[in-house]
Amino acid sequence: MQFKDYYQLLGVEPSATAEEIKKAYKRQARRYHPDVSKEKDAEQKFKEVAEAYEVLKSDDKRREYDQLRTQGARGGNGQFTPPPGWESASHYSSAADQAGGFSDFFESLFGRQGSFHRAQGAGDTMRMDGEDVHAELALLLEELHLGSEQTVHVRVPEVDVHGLVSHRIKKLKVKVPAGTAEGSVLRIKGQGAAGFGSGRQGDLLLKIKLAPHPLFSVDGRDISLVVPVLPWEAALGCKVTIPTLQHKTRVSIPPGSQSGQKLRLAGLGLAGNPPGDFYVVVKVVMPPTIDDTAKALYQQLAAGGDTSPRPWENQP
Amino acid sequence: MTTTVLTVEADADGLWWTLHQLTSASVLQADFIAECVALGLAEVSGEPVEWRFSPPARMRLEKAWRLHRDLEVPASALPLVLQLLEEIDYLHAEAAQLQARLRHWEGHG
Repeated sequence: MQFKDYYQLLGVEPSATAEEIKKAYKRQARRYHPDVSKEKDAEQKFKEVAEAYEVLKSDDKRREYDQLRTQGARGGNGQFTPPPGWESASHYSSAADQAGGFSDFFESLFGRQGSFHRAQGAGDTMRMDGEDVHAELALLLEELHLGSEQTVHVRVPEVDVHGLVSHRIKKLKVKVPAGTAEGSVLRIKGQGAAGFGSGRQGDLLLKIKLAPHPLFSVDGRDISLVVPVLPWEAALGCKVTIPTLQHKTRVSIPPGSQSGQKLRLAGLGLAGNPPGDFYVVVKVVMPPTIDDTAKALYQQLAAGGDTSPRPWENQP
Repeated sequence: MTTTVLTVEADADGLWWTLHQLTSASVLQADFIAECVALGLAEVSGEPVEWRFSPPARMRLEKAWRLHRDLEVPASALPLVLQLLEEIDYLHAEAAQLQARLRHWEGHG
């Protein structure tokens, strides 16, 4: 264990008065306090300064420390060992005492306390950042496209001052921006698990899932709609009315369209930058019933046709 | 599947601590909280039993407590100190953004 020179940490002489020690602590605390300092490793340095002040501000602890400073055993490698049988008279045990997150060196001299009680006191830089909480949010396609306000319930862990973990259900209203894509993660700052001490609050990470749509299928920002057409509509071409995310629109199916042919409506997919496209997928279907008139017409077509849709039958 | 991280605002009406919950779950003590409320560090209404504290309010109160305890900032100066610290953070963030944009434009120049 390395010996800590508390006087050096505060930048004062071992003969410094209580007033000088207090002033030195204030100066160093102002410089390294994690809430105000931009210094590198400020938190670790503030811990050391707070620990030094915890010892040197108390007459009893300072007397004991001075005694150890001169009598403690130090090996050739500079390692420090308290004298055999050492026990502090000003044992550190009260929750009202000002300490926390102190070094092994400090604890070997003045004892230690349950870790969670350390959260109280001037030396408290004990901190534990709250965990990020992950959840999923299923939305309809229209809600993704237009944006929506959703109420979500998430279960987050909480740690009380005694270190006990419990869970509670948080109810949050979340605004989902228009054009949010499936698989996006919404980060809601400060809505995850609570931090401990000066630790930051975790975030809530909501992964957006897409609920199945009865008409549309989605690929990234592109949307597809299968449009059934009758054989003569496919053969002669036709105009059909289709729904899109924005509104209903008319689309021309070109003559001679085959099943599976795609027609692209640029920019009519999901909102975004750039927006996705909307694809009409032609699907030729037979009418549910064929009456005698239709049957006769089909027979005329069959008699006149000399090309098979099956390529292996057209080979010479 | 693309994963985009967006930052959105949340209305956390289901996550507010009462005074009792806050003193149980944090190092804050009721008299300090009451003093901060009187100084306008946390906005609440009604009687103390009706007070509700949001997560940002809790973080602000805890920061105020650390400044008060560790740096001996007088309670009456806490609103000013917190406001100045928040403004410094904001200005640092804004300066970083402007520098990033400047670098971007210099790269295209």
